[in-house]
Amino acid sequence: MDDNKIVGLYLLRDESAIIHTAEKYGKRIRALSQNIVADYQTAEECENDTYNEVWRLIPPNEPREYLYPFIARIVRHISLDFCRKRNALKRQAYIVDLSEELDECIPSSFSTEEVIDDIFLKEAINGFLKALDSEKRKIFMQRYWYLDEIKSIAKRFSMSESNVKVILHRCRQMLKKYLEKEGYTV
Amino acid sequence: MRGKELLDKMELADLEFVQEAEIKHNKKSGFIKWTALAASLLLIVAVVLYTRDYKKPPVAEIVTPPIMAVDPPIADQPTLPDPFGDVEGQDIPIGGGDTRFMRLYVDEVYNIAIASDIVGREASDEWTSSFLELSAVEQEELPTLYRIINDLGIPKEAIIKKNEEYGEYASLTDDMIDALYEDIDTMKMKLRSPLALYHNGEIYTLDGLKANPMQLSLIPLEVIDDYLDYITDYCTSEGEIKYMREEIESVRTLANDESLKFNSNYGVGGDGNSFFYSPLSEMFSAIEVSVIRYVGEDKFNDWVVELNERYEPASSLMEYANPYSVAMHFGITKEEMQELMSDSELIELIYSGDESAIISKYVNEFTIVIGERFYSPYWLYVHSIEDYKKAGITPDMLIDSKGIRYTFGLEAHAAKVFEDKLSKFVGHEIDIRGKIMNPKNKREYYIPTEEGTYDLEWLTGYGRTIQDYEKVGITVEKLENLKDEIEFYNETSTYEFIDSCIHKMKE
Repeated sequence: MDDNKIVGLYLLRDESAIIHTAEKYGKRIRALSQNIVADYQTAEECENDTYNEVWRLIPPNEPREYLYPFIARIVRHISLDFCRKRNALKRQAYIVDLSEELDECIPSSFSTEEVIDDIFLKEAINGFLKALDSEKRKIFMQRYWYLDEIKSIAKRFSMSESNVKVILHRCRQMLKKYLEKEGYTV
Repeated sequence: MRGKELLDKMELADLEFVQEAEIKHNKKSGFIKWTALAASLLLIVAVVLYTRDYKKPPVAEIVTPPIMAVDPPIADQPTLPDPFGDVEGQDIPIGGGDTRFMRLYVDEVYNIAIASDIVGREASDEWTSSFLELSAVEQEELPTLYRIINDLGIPKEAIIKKNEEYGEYASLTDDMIDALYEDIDTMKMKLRSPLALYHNGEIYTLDGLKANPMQLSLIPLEVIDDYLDYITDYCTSEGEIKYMREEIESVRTLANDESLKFNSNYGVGGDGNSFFYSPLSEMFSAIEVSVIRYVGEDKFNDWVVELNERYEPASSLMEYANPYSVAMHFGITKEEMQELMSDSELIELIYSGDESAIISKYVNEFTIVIGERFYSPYWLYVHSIEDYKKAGITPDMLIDSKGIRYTFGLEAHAAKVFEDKLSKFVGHEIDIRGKIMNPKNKREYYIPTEEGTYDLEWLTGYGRTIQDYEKVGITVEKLENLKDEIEFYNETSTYEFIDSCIHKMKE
């Protein structure tokens, strides 16, 4: 079933919408979550929670043209939450590592407590991503959006791991510069 | 705000980027070499940019790192100049993949836009199509700009003029233009990437050395060390050493790896080097697990380690682990051995105590035997001519040995060392490198036609096409005959090239 029809079912509050979503995107959702939480059972839980959340969010949202990315964003959020809340998940350390990597992007003038308006931050992140060439953007997104491991990224792009690390390092430097340039300083 | 929040807020990324980066699990086919892919992509980028706005030189749109105003490392130029200049304050270029350690040549000569501008879109497209049909190795061999200039006969004056027209967008320096009109060897010298290694007429890159460690056996260790030190310095100054150190050191380790003497592609499906190392057949090297358990695994392992340390490479039965030496060393009786092993014929032979009989039964055809001692190709490889003499090996024995007429997959550099030593000992040139297709033996194979005689050197020359073959009267049948003649070289690119031409001509 195409996305337009599935979203239509959600809008009609037809519960078969969830079944169709699971049929069409279940595997991808689970894989994405599995990639983040590194635990099959937890990934299944995340998948189920995602369906509930999608049900709650459509309507008012109508992601007819971008249903999968819409769901992917939700499952990412839920999976990250699971990682942080459940100490038993070994993945926690990995998430901490990723957070530390991104610490490099934060301009030194930022206070740790400072909360940046989501609208400005969204502009900054997307402006930065747009400035990257496609390959670097994909690598950056796979690392910090899909939380993929360096090794997998290297394999996917037929690069050495060092090469991926260097690209990510440069991207982080660029994001930092971008944030500074766009005035995200106090 | 901290990294943790930023990681969360990454969810604010536009969904188009999310979709674009979605991890799909259909990986690239293994046979697509990344280098070829990079070259092709670059070419496509150049063509796309050219197509989009052919009046404006697209080079300006591709931000590439500036050419370093220094000479790249050359093997015979040990003093390395400071290549880094003032990196502080330089903007990090946006766009383009990280090809610094991948490219053989400076970035500018991969961009064919200037040539396309001169010859026109149609000719450029046609050339691009034929270029993309080349094998990955051929695509990488020469700078794309050099290739198109030569293929389409673009005069130097036209390049100079067009480059001047680009004004501030011009990317080619006078030196680069001069180099584009030099012969291949000079061009390689002049246009090599500042981060590549030039040695003995060939260019090597860090990524290339890592991907194909066999190249390392062609370069002296001290040259590799100098090169890796240079790369280390470069990465340190770029602030990237913590990401690159592991890679650099892994190449250094590979360069020191003894096993590099061999070509890893050799002996598919088994250990193709075993005849090089093993004096006797593998059937006699295997020791049954029951025997090992009987003597005790720890005791057995200690003994093997000691033997390897003392006698590697072995030249008698008691100098390496085999059913005979284990029985003798650990004092296993014949009756005990009958309980442990099933091969009664072997047991009889072992307990006959006749070492010569055992050796003659199990010796492999590459080993030289003198009484109760034997000399494998590996023994010959690691010992000196004086040792040969002390062991009683004569030049005639060597000449008769099959071991000196077989490469065992030895890499070119190692093979040459071996060859030189053998040649010196026997007093005339020994060629063990039959598998290596060199210009000399390329000229030994040829096809005669009414137009003339065409050897492999000509047949596989740069830019040769099947149309050339047809023009001079070379038929599929003649090519097939030649292919049969060079069957021995079936692992070489020359053979593959001839084979692919036959297929194309048949089509």
